[in-house]
Parts: sequence; structure tokens; C-alpha cells
Amino acid sequence: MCLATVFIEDDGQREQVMQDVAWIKPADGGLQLTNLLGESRLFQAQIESIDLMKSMIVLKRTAADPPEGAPGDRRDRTV
Amino acid sequence: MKRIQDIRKIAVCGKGGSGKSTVIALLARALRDGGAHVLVVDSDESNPGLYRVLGFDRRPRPLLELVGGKKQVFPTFSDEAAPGESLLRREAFHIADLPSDYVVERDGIGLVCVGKILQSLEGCACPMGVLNREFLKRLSLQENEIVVVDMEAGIEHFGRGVETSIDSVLIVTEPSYDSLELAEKISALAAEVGVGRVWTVLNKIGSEEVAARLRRELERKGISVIGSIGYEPEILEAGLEGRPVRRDKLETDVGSILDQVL
Repeated sequence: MCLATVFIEDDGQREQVMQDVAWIKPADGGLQLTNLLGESRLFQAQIESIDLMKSMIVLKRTAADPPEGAPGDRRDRTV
Repeated sequence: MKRIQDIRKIAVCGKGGSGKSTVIALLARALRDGGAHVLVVDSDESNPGLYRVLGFDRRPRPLLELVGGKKQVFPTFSDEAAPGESLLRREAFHIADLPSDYVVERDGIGLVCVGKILQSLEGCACPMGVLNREFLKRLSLQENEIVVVDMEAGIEHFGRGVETSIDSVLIVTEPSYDSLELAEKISALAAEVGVGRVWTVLNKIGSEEVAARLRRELERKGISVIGSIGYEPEILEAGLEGRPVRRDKLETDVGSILDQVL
């Protein structure tokens, strides 16, 4: 499937953070991820790997994430 | 007979050309006649004419436009490009919440359309599969409401996880080896994602002998056969003319199929 499941690696742990991601763009030193329905989250992270065969993107955390509700963060629900 | 509340979201699957749309139209009308409010979901991104088979004179606006349309779904990167607030971002919504231009409705049967491929080179249908899955997952049904989903032909929708949002699968099987093989595959995939009820309806059946042979094959594969639709001239004529099938011209007893589904 073309839409991606995104994981974030932090301190050796891998956690799934978003599904059905359609856009990724650099924002405020990190990355803004937006899914098909328009839910958007900001991560202080960089891309570790992109596997288009598995529709899987792995990010590596570089700093603590901005708080929920920060500009560009439009979270609908707990992922 | 089980209550309608027990069967809420039925995905109708099968090989291309097996007769899914015809079965859906017959099933929707029989469910409606039984007192249910039926919502048909057209999730086939290729075939254009389900609305005609159901007796509507137009298709509703595609749900894909509720999230900005496919051009906006894959835009150039800009802050304005991402879809904004939308019904589909709610945790749950009801049929009655759907904006009026996204559903056509008449005599107790409604129709929504996920989206259609409109242009060459526009990209794949993955966003439509995800949208279908999320729409069905978040659609909360009121008492007496039932959803019948026209799936795209084949099995790619299982790869997209659409069946995680439904509770029953009805496979339409025609007399061909491929159709039988696909029925077995669909049945196995449905079990894998935890769908509790899987049945098949035979379609385009020319004789009792053919029906008996198909029943034997399917039951050997562990698939429950709940009915059979004949090779009816009325279905062929309706298909040629792009109009609903006249049930009074059918010898097939759709009601008996329904009794087993419910």
C-alpha cells in the first residue's frame, strides 16, 4: 500500500506513531507528518529509513517532541 | 432469524464480472423490504454504474472529496494543501451526518461512493482503500441500519485492511474454476482478519447439476452456500440496458438467501 506506517526509534526502542501517512515535510527542525484524513503531528526526528515495498518509514528521534497542539500539530486521537 | 443488529456491515466480494453489483441490488432491496434502512457503499474504483443498477439517476459526490480529493491528497507541499476539518476525522459518525451531496437516497436505500479512478497516470487507488476502511470503521449504525459494501473485484482490499472494518463477507461465485479458487482465497483471508461470517451465493447458474457441483466444491472448501441465482434473461437484459433488475421477472428467490444471511 502506498500510504505509510511510521515508526520512531528512540533509545533503541521502536514505536509505531502514525498510520496512513500521506505527507512528510521538514518543519521547525523536525518533521511534520500528515495522514490521509488530515491528522498532523510534529516530531523532532530525522528519517532513518524508507521502505516503499513495506510502506514503512522509520524515524530517529533527535530531541523531545513539541507539545500537543503546537503550531502544525493537529492530532485527532491517540495513535 | 437473527436480528438485523447482529449483521451490520456486509462486504460483497468476488471475481470481476461474477455479479456482485446485481447481488447487491437484489440484497439491498430485499433488506429494505424487510424493514431495514440500507446504505450501499460503492468502493469499486473502476466500475462506474452501480448507481444505475440501484435505480438512481446519478452518483453521489465521492467521499474522497471530503478529504480534499485525490489531487489535494497528493499535492505539492504547502501548509494549505493538507485537508482540513472533515466528518471523516471524527471518531464516529452516523449515516444521517453525511453531507447531502455525498449520499443519494430513495425508498430506504442510500448510496455513497468512495471514489473512482478518473484519469490515466493519476496514481494508484490506495487512498480510496484507506478511506473505505476508515469510513466503515467510524460509521456508527443506528438500530435497523445495515451497510452493504460493493468491494472492488479480487482481493487487494484485504491487503488494505478494509475487512477489519466489517463483520460479514458474502462471496459471489460464478461457475468457473477461477471463481471457485478465489472464493476459497477470500474465505481464508476473511478468517485471517477475524470476520466471523462468510457465505457464498452462486450466480449465473444454468442448471441444477451445475449448482450441485459448485455446492459440493465449495462445501468441500468449508464455505457455506446460502443461495443460487439462475442464468436469468432479465438480469442479462437489465445489464445491457443499465437499469435495475425487475424482481417480478426473476425465478430466483432472493428472500430465501436473505433469510440465511440474517
